[in-house]
Amino acid sequence: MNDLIGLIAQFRWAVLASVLTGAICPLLGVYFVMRRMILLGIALPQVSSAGIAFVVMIAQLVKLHFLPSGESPFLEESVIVSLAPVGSIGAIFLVLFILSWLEGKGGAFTEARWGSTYIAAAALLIIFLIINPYAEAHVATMLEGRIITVTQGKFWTLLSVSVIVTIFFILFRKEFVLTSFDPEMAASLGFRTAKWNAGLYVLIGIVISVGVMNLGPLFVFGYLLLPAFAARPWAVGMKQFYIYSVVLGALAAFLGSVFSFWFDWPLAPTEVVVAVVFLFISRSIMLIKRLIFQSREVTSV
Amino acid sequence: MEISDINTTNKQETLLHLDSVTLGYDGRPIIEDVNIQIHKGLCLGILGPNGTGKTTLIRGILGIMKPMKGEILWNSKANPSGRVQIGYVPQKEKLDPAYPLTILEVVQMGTFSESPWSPRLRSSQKKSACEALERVGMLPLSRMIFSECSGGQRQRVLIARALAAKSDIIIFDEPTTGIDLSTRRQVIQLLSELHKNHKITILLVSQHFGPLQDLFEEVVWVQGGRAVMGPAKLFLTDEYIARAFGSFQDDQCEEN
Repeated sequence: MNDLIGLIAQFRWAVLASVLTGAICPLLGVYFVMRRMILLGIALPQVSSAGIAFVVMIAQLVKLHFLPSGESPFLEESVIVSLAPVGSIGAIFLVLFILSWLEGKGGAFTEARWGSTYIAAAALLIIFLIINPYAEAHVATMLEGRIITVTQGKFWTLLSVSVIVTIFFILFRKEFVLTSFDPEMAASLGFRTAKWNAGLYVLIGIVISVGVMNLGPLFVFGYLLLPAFAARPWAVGMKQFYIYSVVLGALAAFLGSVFSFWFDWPLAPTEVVVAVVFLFISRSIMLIKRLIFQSREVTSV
Repeated sequence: MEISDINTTNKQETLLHLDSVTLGYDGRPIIEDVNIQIHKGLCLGILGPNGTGKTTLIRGILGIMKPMKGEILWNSKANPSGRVQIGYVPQKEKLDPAYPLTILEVVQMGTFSESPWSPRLRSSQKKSACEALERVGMLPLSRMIFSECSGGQRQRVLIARALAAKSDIIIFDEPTTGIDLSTRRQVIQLLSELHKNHKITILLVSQHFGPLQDLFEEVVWVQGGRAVMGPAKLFLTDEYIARAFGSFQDDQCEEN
């Protein structure tokens, strides 16, 4: 037990980053569940990864081209850390802009577009990693989501971004809910739906970018979807939906960290598995509750 | 008298004026050269067969679509915001049950434009929402989840939301579709009360207009890419409906 507490204390920044991202992802994840855009939730972390791999590949190729003899061909860690946000945020916003533009043009293939985006990003990611001769050395680690490498500095960056996103989310939650639930009513009240959708996508884009850079695409997609999906049947009203999702996400991430250190399993997959267990428990209890209710109704008839 | 000869100008105060408006998608007009004036306190039916442009017309009036030609004027001004409060009651099936919104939260949405930059609702907004729910008889169920309500209850909630918005005009999209006969009667009764007792201007889109026809004072008939306006009694005759709907006439008669 002491060893476990010692490990958690040693990797406290990784645990704190997991819990923080485990809380902020479901806050926006409720919109992925309600607006039925789960496929976009898979696609965006992949786009973020492809964006990071692309800018690092370009920087690496440029460095190799102008490399003086005798100098190390590896990109410095500081260069990668500063380029990653540019690639991640740039790629996500470019893709969101294109998808919004296509959405404005109409058509009934929204899900097909999101699926195509995922496939394209996944394929390009592999190609960028293969073109970059030193990708395995540093970029692959970042994209796998080695949460264990989260430092104090990265955690404070994550916390700052999370606080800013949460403030904007709280300030405009009314508008986000109205324009998502009933865009026509929103328009009749004078709200510009496209503007509020863009605002929500910007917040989502920022959270996914920062999340993928620190915790990897698996964790980010898992926590965008699973806690909100687990919380949905229990929520009566939007406030409860946000609170239950955030609490479930933070709790699952913390317990996932504990199990990861206990069994010496990789952090991100363990945390996602714990969130899946939460989802399974939530849905099972709801199912049992419904069956009991139905059997009582049959008996009373 | 021919429909096209009807003079649509009215001496009463004009709330909404569509001046030679053409609406469409991707440069392709769906409904052309619409000239209608709607005065305050009118109950107007927007009728016509399926797929003729009724929804397009409503989207234009709501400001979701910009006219390809012509102008939509509210109180003689181009922009409705701040001058006219529009309430919209969509088809209840359009609203996704994935949202765990309570009835109260749905109705409170109608008041959001009163405090656009505030994360919290003012007490006056909360009061408006409760009053609107009381008017439609849904206050005791205000904590219930909206998507778990019956069709008739959802329709009442959406009407309450339009009332909470303190709307000058309420636009209803197929309000009696998909609800049973007794609930339909209750909804029609409610619409009638709103119009007669509260003098709210009502625009009502429907293709199953049989049970609603007593409400209408005037009708905008949409067909063949055109929209013409005139007194309800002129359009809602067996002969005119037969000409417009063909075999569909029987359905309308059954509704009656």
